[in-house]
Amino acid sequence: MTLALSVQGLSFEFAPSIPVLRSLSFAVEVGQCLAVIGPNGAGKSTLLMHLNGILPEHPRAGASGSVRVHGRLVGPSEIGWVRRQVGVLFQDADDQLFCPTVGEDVAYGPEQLGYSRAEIEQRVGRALESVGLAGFERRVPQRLSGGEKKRVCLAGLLAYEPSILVLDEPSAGLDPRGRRELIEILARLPITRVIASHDLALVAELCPQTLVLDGGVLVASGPSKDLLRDDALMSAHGLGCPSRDLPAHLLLSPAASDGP
Amino acid sequence: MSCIHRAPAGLKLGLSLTFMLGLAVLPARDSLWALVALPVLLSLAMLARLSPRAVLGRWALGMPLLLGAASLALFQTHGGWLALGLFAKSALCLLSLQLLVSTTPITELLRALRRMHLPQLLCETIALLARYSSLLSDEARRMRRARAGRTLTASRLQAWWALGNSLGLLFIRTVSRAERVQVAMRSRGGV
Repeated sequence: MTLALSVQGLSFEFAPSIPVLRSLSFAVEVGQCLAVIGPNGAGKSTLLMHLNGILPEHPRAGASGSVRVHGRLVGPSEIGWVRRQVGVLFQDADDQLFCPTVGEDVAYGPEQLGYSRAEIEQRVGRALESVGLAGFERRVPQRLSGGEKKRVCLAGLLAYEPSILVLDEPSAGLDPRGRRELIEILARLPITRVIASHDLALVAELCPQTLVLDGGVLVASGPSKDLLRDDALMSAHGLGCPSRDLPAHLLLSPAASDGP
Repeated sequence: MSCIHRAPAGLKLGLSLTFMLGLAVLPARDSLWALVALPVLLSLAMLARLSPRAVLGRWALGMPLLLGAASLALFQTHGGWLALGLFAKSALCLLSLQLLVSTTPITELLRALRRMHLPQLLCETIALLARYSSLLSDEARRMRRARAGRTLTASRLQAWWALGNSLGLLFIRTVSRAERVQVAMRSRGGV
């Protein structure tokens, strides 16, 4: 078993005595697609930001425990390498798109890695094509639809080929078509993925394994097929009643049923 | 919470305004005398247990503007002394204002301003500014984190370029947010 990510005893607080994460431990195997679910304020986004070293922002911040990416400890000395390995897709696409054109935004990662102009252009083209946006290089990000923005953000990560993708609420704010397109793209990606979401249908479709987070505590973990069918557990943690809310075929979908 | 924090907002506001008015009417040739107030203001900041780093940092942020304004006096006769005096007075005003806002909650400050019959429109503008500056800083923080997530090397040039783009975008987002807020206000009967 090769681990892509390993989190051991991770605790974090933004301000003294206001814990956001409490002693979390879990591991993600290479190629696995893991879901992190939980109510608002559970600490999902905060956890994801630890996976590529965005948090803690200050060395003196209240953090303890460790995060390892392919066995290497996430810390200031490894930060460049860690960010190269772990791409983060943020919830609000507008936070992530800061360049005047789509092409420049997607090229931001490869440019930092010192590739030649021709190689950068090739990578940008390939990344945009893989998210179904070929030919969008000269478009202005702010004028795209929500779904297109999200896919440009994803292309911006794929362009520098991280080995792990961390996605924060990837389907939030998307219309059904945009959501479906994103799910299909994510299902095709052959890399390790960690997805924080409230969208239990997406979780059932993509993620064989799930973690349930509430109040910064890991309250349950295991195969999605078992957790999503446990209505008592789901409703106790603000996640509704999947066996009633989700179509039955989703709870029997290959991802939800194929947990190791 | 210090005794300065607990003092009535109206009293603090009145004292600050009187102090600034006093500085404004001080003759130009005696401007540098105003500097005797500096140790008093710094002592008050210490008494209020404000972080010296935060006080000096915020004070320094305003300095380029003050220097710009004071440098206009350089074009007059004895402009050097005039500019120096103007700079000293405005820096003291800034410090006293900083003391006021750091030790008084914005809601109490607004209540005191209303009691002083400040025009309603101005009070509302200040309230909106306070409300949206926290939203804006939150937005800036999220953008900084998203940028950090894709910062793979420590190239300063790239970092400055990305920061410039983000600031431009933040400005555009601020304008569009202001438009949405105005539409929401109008939809509830505002002007």
